[in-house]
Amino acid sequence: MDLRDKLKKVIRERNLAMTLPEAEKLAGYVGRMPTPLELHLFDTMWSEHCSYKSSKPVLKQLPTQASNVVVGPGEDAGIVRFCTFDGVDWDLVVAHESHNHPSQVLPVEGAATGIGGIVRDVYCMGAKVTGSLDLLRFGDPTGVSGEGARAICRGVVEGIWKYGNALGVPNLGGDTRFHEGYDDNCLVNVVALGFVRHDRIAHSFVPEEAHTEQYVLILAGKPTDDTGFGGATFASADLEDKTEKGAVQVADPFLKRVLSEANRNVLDLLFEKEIPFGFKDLGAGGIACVTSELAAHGGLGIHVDLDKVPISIQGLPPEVIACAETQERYGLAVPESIAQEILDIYNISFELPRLFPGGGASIIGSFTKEPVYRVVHRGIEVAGAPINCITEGIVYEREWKPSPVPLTEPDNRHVDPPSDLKKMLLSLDGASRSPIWSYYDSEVQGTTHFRPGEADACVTVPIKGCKAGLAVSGDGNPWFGQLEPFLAGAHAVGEAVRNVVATGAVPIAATDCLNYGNPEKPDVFWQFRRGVEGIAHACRNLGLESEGEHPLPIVSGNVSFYNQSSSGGSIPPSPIVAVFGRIDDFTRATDLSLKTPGNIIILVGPREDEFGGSLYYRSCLEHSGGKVPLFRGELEYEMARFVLDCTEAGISQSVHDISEGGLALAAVEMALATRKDARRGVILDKGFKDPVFLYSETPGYLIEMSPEDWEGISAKPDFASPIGKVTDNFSISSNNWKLNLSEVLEEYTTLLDRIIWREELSE
Amino acid sequence: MTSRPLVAVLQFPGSNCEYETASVVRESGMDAAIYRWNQCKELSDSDPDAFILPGGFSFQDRVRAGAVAAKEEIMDLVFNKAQSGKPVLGICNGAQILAESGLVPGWENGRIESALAANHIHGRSGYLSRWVFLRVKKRALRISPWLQMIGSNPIPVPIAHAEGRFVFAEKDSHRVRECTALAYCDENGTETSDYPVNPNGSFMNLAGIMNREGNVLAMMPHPERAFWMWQIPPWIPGTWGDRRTSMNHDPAMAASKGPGALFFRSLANHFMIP
Amino acid sequence: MTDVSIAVRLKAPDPAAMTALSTLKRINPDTCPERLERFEHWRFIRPLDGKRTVERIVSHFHDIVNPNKQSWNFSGGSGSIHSGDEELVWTEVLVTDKVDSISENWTDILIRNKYEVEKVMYSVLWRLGYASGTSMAEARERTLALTVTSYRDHGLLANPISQNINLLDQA
Repeated sequence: MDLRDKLKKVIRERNLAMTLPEAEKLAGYVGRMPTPLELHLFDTMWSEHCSYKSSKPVLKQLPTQASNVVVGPGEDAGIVRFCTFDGVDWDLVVAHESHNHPSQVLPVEGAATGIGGIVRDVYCMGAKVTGSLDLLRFGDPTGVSGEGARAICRGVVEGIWKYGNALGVPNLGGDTRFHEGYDDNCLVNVVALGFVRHDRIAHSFVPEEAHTEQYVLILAGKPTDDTGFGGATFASADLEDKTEKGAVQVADPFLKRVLSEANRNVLDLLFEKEIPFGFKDLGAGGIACVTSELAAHGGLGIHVDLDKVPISIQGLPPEVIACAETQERYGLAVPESIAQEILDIYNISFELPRLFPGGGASIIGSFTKEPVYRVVHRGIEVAGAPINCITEGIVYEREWKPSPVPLTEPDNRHVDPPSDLKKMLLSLDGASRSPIWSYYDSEVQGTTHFRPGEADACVTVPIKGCKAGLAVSGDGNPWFGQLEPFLAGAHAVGEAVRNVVATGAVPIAATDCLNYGNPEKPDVFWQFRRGVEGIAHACRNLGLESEGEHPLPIVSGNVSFYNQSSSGGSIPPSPIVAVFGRIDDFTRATDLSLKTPGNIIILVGPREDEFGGSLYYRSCLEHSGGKVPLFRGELEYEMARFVLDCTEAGISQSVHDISEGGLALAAVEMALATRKDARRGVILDKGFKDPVFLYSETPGYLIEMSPEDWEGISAKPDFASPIGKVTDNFSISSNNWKLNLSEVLEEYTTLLDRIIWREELSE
Repeated sequence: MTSRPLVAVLQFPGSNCEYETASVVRESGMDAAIYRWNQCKELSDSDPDAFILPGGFSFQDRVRAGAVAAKEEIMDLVFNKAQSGKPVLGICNGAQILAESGLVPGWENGRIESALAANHIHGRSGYLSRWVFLRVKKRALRISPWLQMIGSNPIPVPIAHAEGRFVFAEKDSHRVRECTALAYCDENGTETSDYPVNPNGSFMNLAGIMNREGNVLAMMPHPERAFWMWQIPPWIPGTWGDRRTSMNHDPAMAASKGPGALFFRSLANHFMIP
Repeated sequence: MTDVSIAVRLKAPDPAAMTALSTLKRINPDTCPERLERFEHWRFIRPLDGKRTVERIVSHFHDIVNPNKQSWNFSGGSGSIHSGDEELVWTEVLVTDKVDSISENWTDILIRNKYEVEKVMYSVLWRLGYASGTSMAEARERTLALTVTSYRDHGLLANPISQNINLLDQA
């Protein structure tokens, strides 16, 4: 049998995702038939999930550089400068990933390991993790596949609380959408953020010093088992056979918490002794990826001895030990001379072997000047590849074909505000998310100022004693995605920016997770390209921190392809963006609850007739519409500037952005957020029954301020005008209609609880 | 008194509120140090003046919340110090550990006489995060070093737990009253057993119980998360809500302390820290 | 109509069982079992079509059994769960919360969804395996002692204040 046939056979037998030309390329690197370990290692490294082989050429369009960027995309997490306090420079560390496919199969474990992985990405930059967000897309819980959608939603939320709450990282919300396009393929996107001293950033490669001093590799955490063998390739393949493999890992938040405490002690020790080191979490590809990448990116080789790896299942073949994706493990490159002291921290001070039988820290390899990735098992060499091929990527130029959706409009637009607003409030997308948030611990660490739902973005005060607040929001509208992929990308950025700006914070960085179908299909790849173009366009327009000089930088992100059902239908194009902002004095941050009767409501952003994907069309007219709101970059920038100026001047008493349900629903939400012993409402100035005025989702803001403060603004922009007043009546009204909000409050608050958790579905 | 009292904050495997808890102790004029579960000797040598078992998920609530941590060796020392009258506070998971250690209610020395069972809510199970109101029971206000400064007005604090329902044996129900310390109530101070005023179905609306002497207090809500005014949600009703709302135009109010600070202030006061 | 019970176990090692066993080994080294297994136990009260009704429920609600991570079988008392080392002397103890939202909520959901069952009761089933040679009487005595938590250093698996403890009969 010639090499080609052997490779074909092994791909089939080992169920590898790599193509024959890829396998031949690997055989060329090693100069012979690759070993099983080499095949599995490169199968992971060259998977779509790890290699970005389809997306890389397109992602180049994203703006990743700005004056505040410390580490852009490429390492485990992105880093931007945040503030200086007490002589210390603090940087913000952010990471964003998807865990879609595993969550569809095992909702609890999939969501849990999603958080686990993203939190490790931030930890391993040396940071303290101070927040996480979950951006969730589920199928229609009341539709034909409702039973599955409800169980997945329940399971994902359970996974988030059982794992995330135990970690001690506050959950800063995120968003949740329901759309039948996710019936067979939910989306679980996770964001983690943290803070690190600028002079204490850890990097994921062996340091320069290892060329002159002997460095070793310490593996710390859970004993290796066979879970997740083939995980990264699993994430990149269609969800055809749910029983296929045990690719989903078992998360252990308890061990993770103890391990994080031990890591902090280890890193403190290394920084105090000024010993350079490399630190990386184990994710896709397990030991094989972490060891080879730590070495390759530091320009060294490594010799790994698999017999030194603590394992919990006897008799595992070497490729499984090397490539399994057992959770809760880290790899650490340190000088041999300090290794014992570090092992003692893990094994004696923090008693990892007692707390998790078989777990702990051990030395499993040493770095070599010989530029070879060598792995030995029972004295036999099971991998031996030139180290530089580890960093060799592969790239595909995918075909794309424009496939725009034809625009349609409903025949007639009936308007009856009280009934329309009720329908929107009591729709799946309009109802309160508090049933979901009530499972999350948003307050651990004691740094939370605005919890989910209290303002447009969560605000925390993460650096002790420092007044700088962090605001964060994540967004993405599948209904826009389904109609116009470019605008879906642009508005994902725009909406998250508006949410952050509404609190008074200046956006300083963004992350993205690009969720699409099969990139080998030209129409899907076109959706993906358009989404990226939309994100890039919006980021270039919204560089608020540098006053337009630099774009809003995308510093971390992830691409998730092959989100589709077994019948081949793709999910709606789903670019999801998180935006991070800073407010220098958090006590000035604005929430969304109406404050003082007699105040006026300022509309920022003229209304346009553009209802594509709008909540009004969907809930009241049962129509998806066509014309998605345009993204008007300059206007967005100017509006954001105006809102920030008002907050800084201290005249904004509450602020809410206009999105789903338009201006009218935004006003209602501001009323619903009020204190129950100080209820407020809104009366609109004129008897509008104009759907464009009331429900258009053209981006904008509502600001509450006193009439005097409004009069005091010398240069009023022409995009801002008063449209109503705050009242002490818990209602929204105009001179010819009124909706009493106490009528809907209970139903609005409990809708998701009743449908998802209690399975109370109307007959 | 020249030196500040030392409060030991214990870190069990899986604790996750130890840092912010130590921080608010220091903000209240006392020293705080965190001791890992296996630092029994260090803890014993430093002879702390008071002990706090912070919130979190010790051993990930495996078997039952608090059940495994209660059997750690370090709890021998806490047990003895509690018997000798040193103030001991268990918050959330710390309260679960105290219950599983038999330190509260402590009718019979060391016997397990209460449980913190899974929340009992119609149509819902699992974890619940929510702000609630609490009031201090009269005797507790008088005798517990953790409660004296709180007064009789209701205070808002958050809960975050899956297992927070106090349960006692039926034969003991007649004497539960003497161990009651904190009860769930509405913003006007009225107790009711209805959800969400009583957020977990706890017996007699109990949010916290103590031993007979009052030095050991086990409470489910998190006072360290209501230590500063800015930690209070903008929608909280009542007089604390009024203060929180005034923060919007009074920067001094933003820096002021919240209701949770009263627990730690009480302890400082107990040690006669001005 | 008789009641039908099922026992559900994780395919991967159960972390709670692992922690429980290592704790028992530490506090009761002389009496602790060689092996400890943990199951979620669901008892369906008077299902109309007996096992068939229960099979329908199990296949519908992945919250109860997710076949991607769990396996299950009917558990009609002892001896029906074939797992572990049959060389050991096995005992089974069922721990049930006296008041329990999980049971109540699932009862509501099943009835609302027209499954013909009166009630469902959720418990945790612990299975303790002792070294061969241990008499059944002694094994049962030890199991009870390790289960009922009466003092800090006495018992672990159940708190009798809030939980019912049922040492299952041997076949």
